[in-house]
Amino acid sequence: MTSIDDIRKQAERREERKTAAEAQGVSPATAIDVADDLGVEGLVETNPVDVTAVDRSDQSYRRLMFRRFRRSISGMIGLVLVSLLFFVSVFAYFFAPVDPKASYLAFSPPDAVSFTSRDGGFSLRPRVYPTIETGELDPITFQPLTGPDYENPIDLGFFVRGFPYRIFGLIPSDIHFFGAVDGRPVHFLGTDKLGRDILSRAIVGSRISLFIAVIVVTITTVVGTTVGISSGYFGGRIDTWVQRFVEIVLAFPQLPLYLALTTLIPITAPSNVFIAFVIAVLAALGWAQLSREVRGKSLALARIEYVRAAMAVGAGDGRIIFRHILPNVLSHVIVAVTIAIPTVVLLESFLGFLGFAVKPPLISWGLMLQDTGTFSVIGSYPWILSPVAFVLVTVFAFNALGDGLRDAVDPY
Amino acid sequence: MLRFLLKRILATIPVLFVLSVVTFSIIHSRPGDYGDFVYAMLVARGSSTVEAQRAAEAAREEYGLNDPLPVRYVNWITGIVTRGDFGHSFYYNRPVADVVAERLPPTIILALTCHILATIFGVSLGIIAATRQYSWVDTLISFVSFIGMTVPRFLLAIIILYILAFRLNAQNFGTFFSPQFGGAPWSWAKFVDLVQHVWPVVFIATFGGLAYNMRVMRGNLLDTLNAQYVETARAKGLPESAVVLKHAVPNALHPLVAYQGVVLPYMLTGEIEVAIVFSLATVGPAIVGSMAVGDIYVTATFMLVLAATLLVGNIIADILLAALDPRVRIGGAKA
Repeated sequence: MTSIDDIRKQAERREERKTAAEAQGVSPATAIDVADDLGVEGLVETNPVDVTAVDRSDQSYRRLMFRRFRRSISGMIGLVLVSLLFFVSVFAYFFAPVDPKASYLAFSPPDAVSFTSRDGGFSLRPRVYPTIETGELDPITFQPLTGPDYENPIDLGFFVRGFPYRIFGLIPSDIHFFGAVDGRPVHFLGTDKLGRDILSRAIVGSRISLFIAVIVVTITTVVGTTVGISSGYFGGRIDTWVQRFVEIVLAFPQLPLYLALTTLIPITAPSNVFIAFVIAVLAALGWAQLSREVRGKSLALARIEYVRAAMAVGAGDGRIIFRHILPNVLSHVIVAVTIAIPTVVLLESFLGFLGFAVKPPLISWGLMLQDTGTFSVIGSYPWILSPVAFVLVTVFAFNALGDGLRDAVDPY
Repeated sequence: MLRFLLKRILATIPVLFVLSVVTFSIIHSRPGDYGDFVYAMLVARGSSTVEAQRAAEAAREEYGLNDPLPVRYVNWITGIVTRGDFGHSFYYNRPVADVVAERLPPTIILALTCHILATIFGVSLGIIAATRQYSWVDTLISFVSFIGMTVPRFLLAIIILYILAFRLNAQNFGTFFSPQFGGAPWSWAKFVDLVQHVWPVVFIATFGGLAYNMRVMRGNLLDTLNAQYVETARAKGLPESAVVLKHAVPNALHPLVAYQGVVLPYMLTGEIEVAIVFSLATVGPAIVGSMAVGDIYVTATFMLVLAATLLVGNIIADILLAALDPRVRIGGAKA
């Protein structure tokens, strides 16, 4: 009972402060947050003008937002994970222990890291026993059997020398974050049907998957924001027609349309053309929802006093849009971007699962999931499902980040 | 009210028209047609290329694939409007309407079941969370809803499928019934069998929708609980349950109804995704399959029908909203 009372009172107080601040032309969020951060409840109520006027000088909206953001634990976890993800994908070849394109024993199970030698003695140095063909045959199927090779343990270490690569495509190097000390292949997550290391492929594949996501989201954001702002700001007939168009785009059942569009891609296209097609397809529908949200915001903003004042003093449309409206919708757009990236990653992997992924010289998570569509394969070799974990982590990280950001931008 | 309804229905006609044009042109502009499929199939079976070429030409001639695109579109759309004829499925070799009639009802029933379950559970959990704001219950429910919203449904489906098939040795999925219930009349046992087959699909699709509903409900209810009439109700001395359920909840519900326009496509997509993974004989696998063999009329019809379903769903949501909220009605009449 009391708790609800308190909340209600708090909300009322917030409301009062909001209106007081709005009268001063200060962003309501800023005013309230300044008061919250200073812990001056009473002060604001008695004299909101002073507080906002004094504190705006050294506490910018951005800093306050970040302060609020830091309070959200899941948001911070998301931020850390997302940064880590981008870091790993930028230096993908450094983190990949094995050459992702080299092929070894097909469908070799994951090598378990162990600290014991064969006779049970403990060694501080982690090692794996590589999977080899044991020379025996399965008594029923007569397939060659595989098993761990206890004679030749592979010692593991950090910063080891392995296959050569180029950092940023320029600086040649062969140092890898972790892997076998003597450069022999280790498969921490096993190998796929062509004997390629799954962990390395997943790490390198993050590049294409994230690249597609980032490009697609950039396109949809630019288009969505432009359409939304112009539609909301200019209003009138343009708005009516644009909104009708957006309505039609939104009415499409998305998934079947993506499928239809992906089948349009010529199979013989070279892989860079192919990836451009994939990006175009994924970007084709994504902008509509964002444009609608942005339109709603700019519609409201175009009627606020400072925008009208700007109009009255004769500011051009461009200036009003870029100086007054865009900054105010930007926070919303940023949140939308963080939420949109995982959906694209997911879509790419789903299309991959259905067989419409990027083409083989390139590596992406979707392509890796292509093989998981067959029941018998995942039954016998469950480790080829492990790219699922990478997709999951990515989706979680971005969503957590987006959630935290949303709360920081708009806590009500 | 009738006027509002009529306006709403008439407004969907141009949308449907544009949808049909776009769908048709997309599906037709893909390289290769059913003739190519016939050709490839015959060559693979060992007939000579000349012979296969002739058969492919014959197939094209028979199904009118040599006509110019607008002609084919007009033929198709007149068929639909005048005769309810959606064209002929080359692959199944029977009218598309039959294929759709076979696949669509289970899809819609499944999606509706998921939708209803998601609404019931979502709303209840939303009420529980909102009335206990900031307690551990609220945190737990919010966490679950975060998971529900973020876990990709098709990945969840793959994982559940893997566990069911290879860890628990379950065999009952991919169909609606076990073989022994093939032509059997409805009975309790048959229903149980059905549930055993489709529960993973329902579960996964419900989970995501539940999270959405719960979030919206929680937010709305928190807003309503702060309203003055709720305070008045409390001041009158009503028990807390009556205050929440009689005064706050009905008013928190209608943004949720307005939100159905967003939830509906989400639920339908969810059902399709999961059904594809489980290869349950609904619309999803049929679309993927027909696309792979170039069975254009089936694909186009499915897309059109799905779009129409979504539009109808939106209209229903609008009607409900208008019934609940007079402001919408009046606004609609004025505009």
